[in-house]
Amino acid sequence: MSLNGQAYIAGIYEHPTRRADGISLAQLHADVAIGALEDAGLTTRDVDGYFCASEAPGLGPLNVPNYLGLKPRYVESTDTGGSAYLVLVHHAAQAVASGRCNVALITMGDTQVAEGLGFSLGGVDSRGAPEAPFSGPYRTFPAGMYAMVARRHMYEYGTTSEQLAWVKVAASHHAQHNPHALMRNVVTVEDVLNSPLVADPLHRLDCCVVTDGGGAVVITRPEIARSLKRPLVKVAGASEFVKHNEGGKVDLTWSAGRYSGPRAFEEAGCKPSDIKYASLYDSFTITVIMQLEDIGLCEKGKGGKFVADGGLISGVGKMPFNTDGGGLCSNHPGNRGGMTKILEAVRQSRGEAHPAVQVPDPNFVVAHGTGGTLSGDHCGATVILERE
Amino acid sequence: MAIPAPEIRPEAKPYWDALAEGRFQIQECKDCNNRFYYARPFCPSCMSRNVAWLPISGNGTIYSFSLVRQKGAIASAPVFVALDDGPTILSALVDCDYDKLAIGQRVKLKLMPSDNGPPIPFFTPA
Ligand SMILES: [Zn+2]
Repeated sequence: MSLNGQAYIAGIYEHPTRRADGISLAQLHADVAIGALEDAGLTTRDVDGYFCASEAPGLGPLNVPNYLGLKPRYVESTDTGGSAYLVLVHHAAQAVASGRCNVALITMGDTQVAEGLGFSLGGVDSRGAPEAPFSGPYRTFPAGMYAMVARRHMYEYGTTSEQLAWVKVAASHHAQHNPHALMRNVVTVEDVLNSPLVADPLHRLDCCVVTDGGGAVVITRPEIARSLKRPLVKVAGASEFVKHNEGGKVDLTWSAGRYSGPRAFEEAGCKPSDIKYASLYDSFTITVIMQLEDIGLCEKGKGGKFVADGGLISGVGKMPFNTDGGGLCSNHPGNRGGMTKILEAVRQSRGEAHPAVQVPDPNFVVAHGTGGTLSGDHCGATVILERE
Repeated sequence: MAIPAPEIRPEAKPYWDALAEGRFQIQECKDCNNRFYYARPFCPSCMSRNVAWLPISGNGTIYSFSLVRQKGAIASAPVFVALDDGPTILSALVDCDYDKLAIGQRVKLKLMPSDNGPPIPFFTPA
C-alpha cells in the first residue's frame, strides 16, 4: 500500500538548546512534543500514536505517554541510530495511512553533553552486539570507521580532501543565519584542511558537532491536516534499507541509500532532478557525498565534484543542503541527526526556512539519514516531502 | 596501551582457542561454499548449519585504512584487509611505517597479546 497522499506533517518543533543543563531528559521530550503540537494547532489529547527511539527516557512508549498524558493506541520504539527518526516518520505515516492512529507524535531529545556522556550514541547499550568481540580490540572509533569510506572513495573516484571540505564550508554558510547553531562562523576550505587530522583523511572540521537538543514531529491524516492552519506538507514517499558487510563481502563504495532512495522516489512519483532541497545526514563530510550519490542526486563517484565550489550552498549551488547548518555546524543531539534533518526539510517545504537560505518553489524536498556506521552495519532512511 | 580481552561467546570459542594455539581460522559453508567472518554457527548467506572451521594464511591486501589520532599521536590504525582466502575483515595495522601505508599494500597476520585473553589478529606490512 502506498502512503502517498495518506499522511501529512502537521507540526514540528526544534529545541534551541545545545547543552541541556537544568532540563531532565523527560522534560526535553515533553518540551519538543508540546512545541510540535502547538505548531500544528493540536493538543496532547489529540495524540493516539507515539513513536520514539532508544534515547527516550525510561521505557519510552510507556513512560513518555505517562509523563505527557498521552493515551496512545499505537506505539513504536525503533532504533537504527541517527536515522531512526526518518524511519519513524516512515512508520508513523504508514500507521496513519492504514488507520491505526490519527495523530502520530515522534519525539527526540538528548541531554548527554550536560550529563558528561557526549561521545556515545544516546540511550544505546550495545550488550550482546554480535560483532563487538571482533571489532572492540581494534579501537577503530567512529571517525576511523567513516574515514575508511572516505579513503576508499578517494582511491576509487579521485575524490579529494578539498572536495570533502566544501561540504563543511556549505554547512557553515548556512549556519551563520541560524542563531541557535553551535558554530556560526563561516569557514573556508583552507580552514578545514588546516584543522587537525582526527582520522586520516578526515580533519576535525570534517566531523559533526557534539550537542544536546531535540525535536518533534506530528503526522496526521489528510482531512485533519486540512482542518489545521499550517501549510500542507505531504509525506509523498519513504523507504529504508539496512546494509551490512555480509560476513566479509565488504564494499565501501555504496551505502544503504542506494536502495532506500529509489524506492522512496518511486512512491513519491518524482525523480531526483525534481528535488529542490536535500537534508542529508552529516555525521562526517564523507557521509554527505556518499548519500548524494546513493540516493541519485548525483552520479556515483561524482559527489566530490558535485559539492566543490559551493555545490551545496543555497542560492549558489545545484542542491542546497542542510540550510540550518546541519550536524556539521548547528547541532547533533545524542549523536543522532535524523530528527533535525526532517525538521529543516519541513521548514523548507513550508517556506519557513531563514530567508537567506530558503529555496524557491520547494515542491519536492528530501530528507535522508544514515544511522549506525557507514562502513559497517547501518540503516539508510529516505523521506520525500511534497508541498501542496 | 593493553589490548582489552574480547568477550568470548560460546559459538566463537573455537575461533579464540585456535588463535591461542597460533592458528587463524575463518568459517566455510559446506553447502554453498561461502567463506565468512566473524564467527557464527550457521551460514549468513544460505542459513545452513553445515559450516566448518578453515585455517587460513592470514595474508591479504589493504582494502582501506585510517590513522586515528588523539592529542596529535596515532592511537590506532583501523583497516579492512581483503584476505587472500576469502572475506574482507576489520582489523588494525601494527608495526608499520604509518606514512607508507596504501590501499592495495600486501599485509600479513600478526597476533598481538590481549589483556588476560586470547591473542588478537592484527596485520602488518608483508
Ligand atoms: Zn551457505
